[in-house]
Amino acid sequence: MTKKESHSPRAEIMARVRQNLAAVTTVDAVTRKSAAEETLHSGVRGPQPGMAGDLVERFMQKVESMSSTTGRIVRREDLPQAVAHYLGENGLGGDAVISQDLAALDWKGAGLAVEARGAVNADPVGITTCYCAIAETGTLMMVSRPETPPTLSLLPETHVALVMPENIVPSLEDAFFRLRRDFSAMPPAVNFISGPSRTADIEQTIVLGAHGPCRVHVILGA
Amino acid sequence: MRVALFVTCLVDVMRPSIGFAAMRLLESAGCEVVVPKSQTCCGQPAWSAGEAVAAQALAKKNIVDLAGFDYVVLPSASCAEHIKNAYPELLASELEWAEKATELSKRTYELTSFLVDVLKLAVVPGCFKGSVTYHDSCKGLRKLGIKQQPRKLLAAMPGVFLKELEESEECCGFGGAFSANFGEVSTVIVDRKCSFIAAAGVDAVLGGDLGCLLNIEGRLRRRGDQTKVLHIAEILATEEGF
Amino acid sequence: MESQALFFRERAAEKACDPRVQKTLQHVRPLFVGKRKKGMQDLAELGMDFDKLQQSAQKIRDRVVKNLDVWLELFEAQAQATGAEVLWARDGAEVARLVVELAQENGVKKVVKSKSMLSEEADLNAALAAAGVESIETDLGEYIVQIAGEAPSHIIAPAVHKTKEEVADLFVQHHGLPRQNDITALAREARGVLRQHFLSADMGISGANFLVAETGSAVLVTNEGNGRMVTTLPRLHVVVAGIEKIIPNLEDLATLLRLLPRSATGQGISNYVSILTGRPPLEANASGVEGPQRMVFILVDNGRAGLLGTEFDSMLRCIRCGACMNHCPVYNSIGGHAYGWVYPGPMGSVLTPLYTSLKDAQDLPQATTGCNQCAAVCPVGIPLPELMRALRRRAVETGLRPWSERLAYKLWAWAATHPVFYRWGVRRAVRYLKWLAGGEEYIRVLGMAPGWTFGRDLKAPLGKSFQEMWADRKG
Repeated sequence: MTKKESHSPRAEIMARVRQNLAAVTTVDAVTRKSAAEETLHSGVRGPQPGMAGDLVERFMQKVESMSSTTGRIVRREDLPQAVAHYLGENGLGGDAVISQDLAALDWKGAGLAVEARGAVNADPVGITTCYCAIAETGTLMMVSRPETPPTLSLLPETHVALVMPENIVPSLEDAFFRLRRDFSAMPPAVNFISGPSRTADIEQTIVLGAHGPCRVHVILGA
Repeated sequence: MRVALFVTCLVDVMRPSIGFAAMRLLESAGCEVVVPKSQTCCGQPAWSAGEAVAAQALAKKNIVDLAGFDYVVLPSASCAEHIKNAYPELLASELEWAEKATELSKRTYELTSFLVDVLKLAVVPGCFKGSVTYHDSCKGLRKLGIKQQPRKLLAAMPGVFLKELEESEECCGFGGAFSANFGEVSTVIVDRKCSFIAAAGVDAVLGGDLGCLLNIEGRLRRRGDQTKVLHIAEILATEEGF
Repeated sequence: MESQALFFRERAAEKACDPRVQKTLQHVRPLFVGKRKKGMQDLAELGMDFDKLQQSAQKIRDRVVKNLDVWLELFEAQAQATGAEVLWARDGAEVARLVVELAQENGVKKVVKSKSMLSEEADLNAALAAAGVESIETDLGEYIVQIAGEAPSHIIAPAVHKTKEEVADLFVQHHGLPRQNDITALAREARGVLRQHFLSADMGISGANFLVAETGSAVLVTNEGNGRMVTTLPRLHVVVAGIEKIIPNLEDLATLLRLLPRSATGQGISNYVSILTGRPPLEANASGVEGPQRMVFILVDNGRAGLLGTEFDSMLRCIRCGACMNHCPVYNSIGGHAYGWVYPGPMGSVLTPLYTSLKDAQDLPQATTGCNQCAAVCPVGIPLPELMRALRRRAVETGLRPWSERLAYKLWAWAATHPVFYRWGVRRAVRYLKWLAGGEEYIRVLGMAPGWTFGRDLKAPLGKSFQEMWADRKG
């Protein structure tokens, strides 16, 4: 190690860490590192809640309790109409940006003008699928990929998300299990979304719609 | 059963009536009560202030003075907790003393906990009539699990009506030297407690620790509030004409 | 941030006597306490036991703290393998230097920041401003205190000490827009103003609630969406995080996420949980791909390594939930600013002396009633009252306490171990106190303890000590 390297911030910090730990560790670093590496991928879960009852119903209830609205469709083809209905009822216009995997649906037929791209500031509505959803907390799990850009669920005031029942899992641990199974590399952003953005920073009073979407509409597929 | 009554330094100086009430209670329950003359202080003020040497000296003295009794009982959760939990810790580096401390710890009790958990007392000699509310001391509640015991004892007195205090489990702001060293802050805390006591509208507020009681009483009087402030022992062992 | 803890005693007294501060504190207190209580009830309804979760969380944190050398290497290796860069900073000044260098190297004119208490330790905004880089806080509470020129007063709710009128005043002053009077409108206005900054920023700086070694990721736990904005829109993302923030894997993250939001705000989960990971430059720079082109971690010591292997290492378990201060009778009586540094309440009373100076900050661990609420609610079981007492002991043993105080304890301890003299001293004390009352029932002014009689009377003893009366009775 050069003199420069041994005085580098990293070297100094690691030296201090090792020196202080030496006072209380009896096991050598190599052994401890092996043990730590095993822990990395152990998949051992901590205490989890039991979730009795229908997972899908539980998810939908939780979503509503977190201030999102919900809808249901019977067939995937019905999505554009369901979205048009929601937007119409709430006076949210007819323009939207959507994720690639929804591009093949008949949006025009439902009277909506959509573009399959990432959102810009001016886009009022973002429509996405989601990678999976968590029943315990009523949470959408979104994975950032080129075809599912994260701005769709971030910049527009309104976020509409399609959730397929087979993608509803009980807990975060189950979502992570799937993530590891389906992705060889960690996506750059994994976002767990549990409703409209909110803040309580003024007088501890909750306001919905801080920097992210002001409203979230979750549509359950079939 | 031979019980050593450790009255505590605060009771010794500020309110002997509590010591006598504790004695009456223990005797009425059939204990042979001894007041070891050499007792002074459990040493908590020193330990709390970081004066470990003084705390250790006092711990050793008390371990010696309190040997040979079946039980050691204190009318203070704070002091009892110090003997039970802190003595073994502050003497941990001297194995022989640590063992003695652990042994003493097993036979040391706060008063209401002793009366209910050990003696299973069902009848108390007191004859107080009136409405009361109860302040749960922090050390008693959070460190010794004392919550139901005083309430059970009060329930054994037909003339006593207990109204639960709002925020009864919140600290009263005494904290020993804290009350003098940070007087303004301590006053804010105890004032909140006194507001809830006033709202309860009872004849007397009770507690198991004289530190808390002096603090609460002092603030009540400064607020012009004449609610009686009593140690639970004084209620449970009220003599005629109280 | 330079510590003002030296002035804690005066500030605490000031705040205790300030009706405006008291009004805000009283308004806020039941909200925090009530929210956590509800959060714990929800936990119970899910069939979960707080104690078991707490033990699990404590184990997770201890596993890393006790083996931090190994976990730092594992985290760094994984982060680098994903394509992120890992830098190291020994102290706050080095953090600032590294960030300013990154900004200058990358032509950064504007930075947007999500909340990072560590960046407060490092005075990062000031350093960036000095280098001509605009740095804007985007968490609404942090934004408010930034434009007010103040420090945050709570680690979760930085502007908890401000009324909505004060916020409205600040916005009028800084935004030049018509005054808004209700909270929703104020939040909307901030949304509009800050959005422009999100869209035009070159660099995003975030902290990290956790660093996951398994995946080499930073985890952000937020409600507003500003964390997502800051880490998605600008082309460069810098994570500033303490070395103790590492957790082993994603299962551990799930366990800690059951405790953190519930302990802080009572929520079962915060609105946004974001797991951010680096990616190879080729992928990051590909056209049409969203997210930062470059991700840089700055791992910071600034006093943390010094706690390892000591009686204080449990403090490194802290997950910054704020429950301790929310339940502290002292914090709830004086608010956060009195504590004089980045961290208030019980955790601040431990960290400030350890990270800055015990000599200057020794009044913080003195200002406790020992009620133990903090330890009872801590999701990772940090024995805060014991740590504070250990600091008081250290102050005594390193000669920091006033000689008069030491002498008083020495005299008292000598007397207490010499019962005959003690009993004599007590008899004198009882008579003196009775005399002080001047025939009244209560003493109103106690010269030797004016802090007591500032707000309280003291009922005078009746004339004899217990030991005297007992001796009399026995005859």
